Amino acid sequence: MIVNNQICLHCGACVGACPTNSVFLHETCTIEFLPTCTECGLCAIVCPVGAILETAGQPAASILTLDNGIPEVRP
Amino acid sequence: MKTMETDVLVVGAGPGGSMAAKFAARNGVRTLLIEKRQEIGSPVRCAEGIARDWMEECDVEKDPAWIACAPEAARIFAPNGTCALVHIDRAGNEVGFVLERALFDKALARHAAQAGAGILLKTHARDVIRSNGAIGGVVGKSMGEDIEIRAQITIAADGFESQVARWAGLETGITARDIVATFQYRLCNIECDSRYCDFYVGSFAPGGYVWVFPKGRDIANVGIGVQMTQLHEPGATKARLDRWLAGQPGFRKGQPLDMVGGAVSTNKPLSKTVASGIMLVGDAARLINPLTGGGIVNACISGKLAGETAAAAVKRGDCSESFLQKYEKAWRARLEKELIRNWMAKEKVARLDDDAFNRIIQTLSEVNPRASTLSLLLAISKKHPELVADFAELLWA
Repeated sequence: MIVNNQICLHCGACVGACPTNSVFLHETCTIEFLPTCTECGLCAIVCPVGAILETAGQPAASILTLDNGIPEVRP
Repeated sequence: MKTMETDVLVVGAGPGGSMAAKFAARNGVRTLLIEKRQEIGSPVRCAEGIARDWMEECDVEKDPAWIACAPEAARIFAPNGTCALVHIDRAGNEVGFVLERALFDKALARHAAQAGAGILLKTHARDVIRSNGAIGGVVGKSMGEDIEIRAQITIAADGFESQVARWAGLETGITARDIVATFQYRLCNIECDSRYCDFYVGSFAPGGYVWVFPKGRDIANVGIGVQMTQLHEPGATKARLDRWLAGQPGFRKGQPLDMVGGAVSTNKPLSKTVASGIMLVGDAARLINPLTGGGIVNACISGKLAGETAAAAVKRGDCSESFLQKYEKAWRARLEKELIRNWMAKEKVARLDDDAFNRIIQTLSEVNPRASTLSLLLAISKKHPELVADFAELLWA
């Protein structure tokens, strides 16, 4: 996952929504993704301003649907 | 590596953390409050609405410095424009005052300091210390330097992120069904009525609502909450608010002074909020009111109870999970029934379509705004029994 820092509000929504506790918000300036990140994309969905992208540069939300809270990655 | 030692360590200087630190320090144990940010209370991530009737319980004296506005009622608008008025005494824990959170949070931290707590800024935790099956503090950084803070009790008050709990092995992960993403502008130059906190419900905010909480004559916090399962493209939360605003003539000339994002939990109460050496409070314990999204009051109350229990545990030399159950029992006795009732109500409300909202708010609008909660619910259950059927017994309890 990558963060567009020009959009990010540093609100922490991605941190709390991450199912594997793999996102860390450094004070008010940087978001760090840990090696435990599974790229499930939940952080990109919860981000209110769309600042988080999937690593390939493709919006994560386009490869993912949510049904009853279960992330499902589309091929 | 710098090392520090204290009796009680509180991670996070929001209202829950400061309240915990105040009540721990006041009860005579060494207390340290750490905050990741450089400034307590900033950036604000909150709609700033709060009830009036909790302050005595937490020994907080009302100060005009941190009250922006004192609305007298909530107005709930249906998709068709029908409006139900609910007087503040009946409006739940988000209506009564609109705060200046940046000042409110500093005031509560100051109370903690006056009670004897130490405060460290730009100090974050990255993991907990485990010793003999208990949590014995945290490791992290303070002003860029590695730090180890040893404590007999750690109080996790790290908000929606709830990371300290998860490092400690307490299950606070929630699913998308129980997460509401939020986005808010502080809009000035708008037409708003400072007598009312306004709530707009409908399909423009699925599983949530739009709020307009006045901060003055022509200025308000205008925000949206949307259930995460209803978000399908990046930035959908902000986009939905922008779309809603575009359809509101009274906000056409509005200009933003700031914008904030965030998320709130709307789950039913967790089954466990303590373990040996650790207690969770406020948003970190997922104690947000699942129906309104209000979190400050429950954070303050749980913070107080945790601070008191922490001091008692340290004095007794028993920081085991079984002693800390005292805190878990206390917050459940005080808050759990309402949390469960509101979670059940939220599960229903999140599924309503616009037509159902129109009918229900029509019913509410016919009830006296000062009517008791019970009369309101009776009116709803008479006309819409399906809405309350599953939890009727909780309502009358």
